Formats: sequence, structure tokens, C-alpha cells
Amino acid sequence: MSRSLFSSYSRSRSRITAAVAVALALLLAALTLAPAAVARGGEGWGRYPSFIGRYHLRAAAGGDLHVVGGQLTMFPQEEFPGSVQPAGILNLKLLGGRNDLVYLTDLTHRGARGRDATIKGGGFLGPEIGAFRGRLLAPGRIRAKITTRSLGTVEALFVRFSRSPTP
Amino acid sequence: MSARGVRLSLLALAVALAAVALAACGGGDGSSSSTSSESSADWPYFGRDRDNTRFSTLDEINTDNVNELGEAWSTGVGPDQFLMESFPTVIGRTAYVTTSTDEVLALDAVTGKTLWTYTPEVDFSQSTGVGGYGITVNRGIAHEDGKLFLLTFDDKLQAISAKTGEKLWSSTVADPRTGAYETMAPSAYDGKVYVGVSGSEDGVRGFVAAYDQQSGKKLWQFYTVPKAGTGWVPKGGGGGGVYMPPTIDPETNTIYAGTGNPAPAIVGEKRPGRNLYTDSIIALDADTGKLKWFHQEEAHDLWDYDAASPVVLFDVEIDGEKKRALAEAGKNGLLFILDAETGEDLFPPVPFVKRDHKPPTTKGVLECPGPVGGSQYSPIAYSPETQAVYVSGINLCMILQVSYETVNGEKQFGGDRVVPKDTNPTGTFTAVTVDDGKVLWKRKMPTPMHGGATTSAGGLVFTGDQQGILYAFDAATGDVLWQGDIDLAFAAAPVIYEVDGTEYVLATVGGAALTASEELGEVGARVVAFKLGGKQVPTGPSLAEANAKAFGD
Repeated sequence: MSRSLFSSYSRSRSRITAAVAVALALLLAALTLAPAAVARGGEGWGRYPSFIGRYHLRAAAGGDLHVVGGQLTMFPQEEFPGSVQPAGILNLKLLGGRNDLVYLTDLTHRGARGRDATIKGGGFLGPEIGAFRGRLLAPGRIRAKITTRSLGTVEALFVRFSRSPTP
Repeated sequence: MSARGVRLSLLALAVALAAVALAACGGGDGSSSSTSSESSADWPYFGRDRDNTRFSTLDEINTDNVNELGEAWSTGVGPDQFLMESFPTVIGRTAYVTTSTDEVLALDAVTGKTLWTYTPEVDFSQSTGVGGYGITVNRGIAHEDGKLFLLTFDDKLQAISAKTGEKLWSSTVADPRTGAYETMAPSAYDGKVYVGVSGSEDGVRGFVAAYDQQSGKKLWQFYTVPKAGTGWVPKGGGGGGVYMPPTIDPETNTIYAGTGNPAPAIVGEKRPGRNLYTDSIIALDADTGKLKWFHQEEAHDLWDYDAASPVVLFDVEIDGEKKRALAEAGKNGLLFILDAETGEDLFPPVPFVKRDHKPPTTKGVLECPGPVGGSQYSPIAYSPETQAVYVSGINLCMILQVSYETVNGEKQFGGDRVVPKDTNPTGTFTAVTVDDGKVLWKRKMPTPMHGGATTSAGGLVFTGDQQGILYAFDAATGDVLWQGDIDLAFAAAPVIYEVDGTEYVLATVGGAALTASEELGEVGARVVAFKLGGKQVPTGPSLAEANAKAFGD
């Protein structure tokens, strides 16, 4: 190996080393920042007007307790000034007439169409009892699986009938 | 007397004896008349008797044998039920319990089997609250003349058959779009149903109203505060909500109710003066709603110190003079003992939790008690045997920070409330004798006491904590004689009844909104009955052990 070649190789190796170092640094930075970036990107269901309102529920599969209908209210919740975050109230009608009431919090999205939430029982600060995993079909139309220990898995289509969360 | 006369007399005697026997049996099918519902075996009203004392005259379970108490039956109340603030009533062999989604369950009081379920149509879409307000719970039904009366979250008063659960009528008592909601049990008396309304934090205008039991028609309405924009109430303001059933004194035809905070809740600049009739006990004519007197517990409130818990009536003798008196435990941490005829203090108010509060500021001020009390809606109990009332206390100081922004949510709270880091919420349980206003005994409790109390002629007082432990105290000494770990937080007081000669203690457990928001204990929803010789339940840690852990003693 000639010196020049060596030199060339050496410079080349230096460039490669530098490139690898930069790439590693970028990768490290990306890995470090990734969770926050994913969390930021996944929060919410989009702009408020795109999903706030009241929805009818049409059950495709009623689950263990035979859900036959219901209503979902999505609203911008503000307990105190400056604490606004969207949330949902899901009132399910069961075969035989019982009321079932659960609460949707911690809204997230997957890509352009995935719309997910945590389901809580008793209130928005109640225990986590299940998950809402939905897919946006069109503005105001969401197909979702609702899973809780009591309900099993309910498959339903939510169709918005009012853009106002208040009756 | 002729032979015919003797026969008629014997017949009349037989009819009278039969009537007495029937009355003593009570209405086993739940459709009993108001006469039979006075039976000592039943728990026919919210507080068992008209005076709302929560005192049972039964004494099969007593200080000598309460350590033999065990579970008779236990039942869940339905899917996805996670809070339980229902105070049951028991008529004959039927126990009526409500769920946090406003259903009424009729349970066999001996087996726990569900006899029927009434499910109202309810719009829950305004159940938007987070920390404790505007959350759907239901505190029970009222009963009279074979009808049950229920208030639903969306402000409907409904009458249903006590026998079948069939709906008879429904009336709207307030507009849920204003933030008004219902969690209280109504009261029923003499053909009328008495109701109030919640929502002070949203600026709802509080009231007490009477409805006709037959038709559901409104008979009268007494507003507890002026209309928004008039008197002391600023535009958008209000307050004076009523959270628990009014107490009725048939002798004087008076109803007594406690009222809630003014709104905006913690900002007082735009509501000058005392802000009547907020944070007050009010006495109204039961037929007309006309105000007889008021007693304000917190003038110009800045801390959300409602007079939320229900009023208890009793007789006292002070300096040889017999009086009709009442007691109420406020969220401000004071027990008030008043002359029931005039509303005047009989004794200086008795503090039962730590009290240290100043006007809140924009920087934030630590306030004791915090805005959950003191004593929240928790009913006190009275025992004529000890002449004492038993008070549930919450020691939970909070930082109140004023904010002048108001957008949505609790539009009229006026700021934020925060539990400081490393806070350890605890409680008190205090017996106060009503003849002299002195503390008979007081117990530190390891958790906030949120459900209220119940006393019995067996010399006992029952109450439950947030760990799910039901305690039976000696009412005279405060000694713990028995405890059982149910593993679900208490947010209601037990009731006591008797069927076929067996006495039961019935507890509804599962926790309150406060339980969930402050993670004080396990939430859920169950109904558990106890009797002597029932299945043993775990005792849980002793009160001394639990207190040592809670207080670091």
C-alpha cells in the first residue's frame, strides 16, 4: 500500500469514521428524542372541531353484555382555567335495559385514521378499565372496538349527529 | 250488653287485633303503606325516622355480641359500577339501592337476590366533572305510600312503583344545560316530594322545591339565592345548591335543608355582603316553602364551605328546659347545634377537624379544611341513649389559588385547588353530646371519613373508612368493638333492619368521587349485609395500627 494510498485510505477512513460518528450521534439523538416526538405526534384526535360533538352508537358486535346502542359525547374538558383537554362520555345501552357509563381520556391517534383512548370507570379520575381503539372512516364517523373486563369487546360504528357536546 | 252486642264487640276486637298484627308484620312486598313503614324493623326513610337520626331501635346486635358479626350476603350492582354513594332504604323484606347510573335495585333483604331493576333513561352527557363535581352518583330514593321517588343526574324527578319498579311519572326539576345536576335522594312526606339541586360551581341557582306525589306537578319553589345579576349575585353567578334530602318535622310542618357555597366560589369581590342564603341551614314551611328562619354557617364564603350534610333533629334538655334542636356538620369543620324553632345557636360551634384558613389569593394559600371539608355530604347520626351525635371528619388541607379567567368547566369556581405534595389525608370520628355541646369522645382515623354514621339501641355506632373497613364503636366510649375489611371504600353509612327476627347491618360500598380523585381507596360497587353468626370477614389492620401508619405515631 502506497503512502498516498494509505493517506487516501486514512483520509477516507477518517471521513467514514466521521460520517459514522455523525450518523451514530444522529441516531442516538433520534433515539433519545423519539419517545417524546412520538408522544407529541400521537396526542389527541386532531383539531377540536374535527371530532367534538355527540355520536350515536350502532353496535356491530355487542360483546359479553350485549350492547344494543348508546351515545358518545366528545367535549373539551376544562376543570380549571388553562387545563383544557378533550375527553369523552360513553353511555352504553345494554340488552335488558341497564345503563353502562364509562369515560374516555388520554386521547391518541395512530397515523391519519387511528383514534384511540383509555377507558376509565366511575369518572375521569376513576380506575383504568379498558381501551377504545378506533378508525376514522370519514369526518364524524368512527368504527371502534371497545374493550373492558365487563363488556368484553364491543364493535361499533359511531356517527356524529351534532357538533355540539351540549344537548 | 246484649248477646249481639257482645258478638259485635268481639268482632271489633278481633278486627283491631288483626290490624295490629298486620301493621307489626310490615309490608313484605315493598308496597306497604306509610303506616307499616313506621315499623321498627324497617329503615323506611333516608335517616330511618322523620328526624333523620340514623338511629335503629333494634338491639339484637349489641355491645356484648357484635364481635360475632359476619357476612350474611354480598352482591354487585352491575357492570362498570365504580362509585357507590347510595343510602339504602328497607321496607319489609325489600332493600332499595340506587346505582351511580341512577338505576334502582330492589333486593331481597335476606338473600341479596335482585327482585327487579328499574333503569331510567338518563342523559349523562353533562357528567363532565373531574375532581368531584358534576360526576354521576346517586344517593338513594325516598319512599311513601307504595311509591319510590328518584332524582336522575339529568334533573328528572321520577315516581316508580315500590312493588314492581314500574315508572309512574317523570317531571323535570332543572335544566342540565345550565350545569344543574342531581345526586341527592329526595324526601317524601304528606303527599309531597322535596328536592334540591347541585351545580354551585357552575353558577347554578340553588333551590328547594316541592312536587305533588300523585301527579309530579310542582307545588312551590324556594330559591336559596337571588337571580344572577340581581341582589348580591353577579352575572353568571349563583350558588346555594342543596345536596342532601331535606329533613321534615311533621309536628311543626317544617322542612330543614342545608345549602351550598356562593358562586364564584373562591372569589368574593363581585358578590358583596353575606351572600344569603348560601352555606346556611334554612327552615321552610312544608306546605308553602315560606322561609321561617335561616342560620348561616359561613358568611361571604371564600373556601367552598357548604352546609352539605343533612340536618338531624332531636330533643334536648338544657338547664331544665326541653327544646327541639337540630345539628349539622359543615364543610368548614364545625358542628352546629341549633334551636329548631328559632335557628339560634344553642352552644358555640364544635370544631372536629383542623381549622386554619385565610382568604385565597392568586399566589395560593393553604386552607384547612380544604374545599372537600370538614364534613362533606356525610350524614351525622344521633343516639337518644348517649344524647350524642356522631360526626365524620376529613382532614385534607388544600391550596386554593384564585384565577380570574373563566371559560368552561367549573365556570364559577374561580380558580384552582391543589393537594400539596406529600399530604397524607386523614380523618376524625367525633361524638358530641347535644345537651351541652361537649366532645364525648374523639378518634383519629387513618383516612378521610366520608360515608357518615349509623347508631343503634344495641349501644353501637357504625361507620366505614376509605380502606374499606367497617367499624362498630361502643357509642358511649368510642372503643372499637368489631371491625370488618370489605376492601372497598365507604362513601355511605350502613342501615339496620330486621326480617323474621334476624337483625342485619347493610352497607353499600365502593367509594365516592373523592376516593377516586385522591386515590384514597379501592372503588367499586357492592352491597354487603351482616348478621350475627354470618361468614367471618377479615378484620384488616386495627385502628391503632392503621393510625400508626397514617400519622407516624
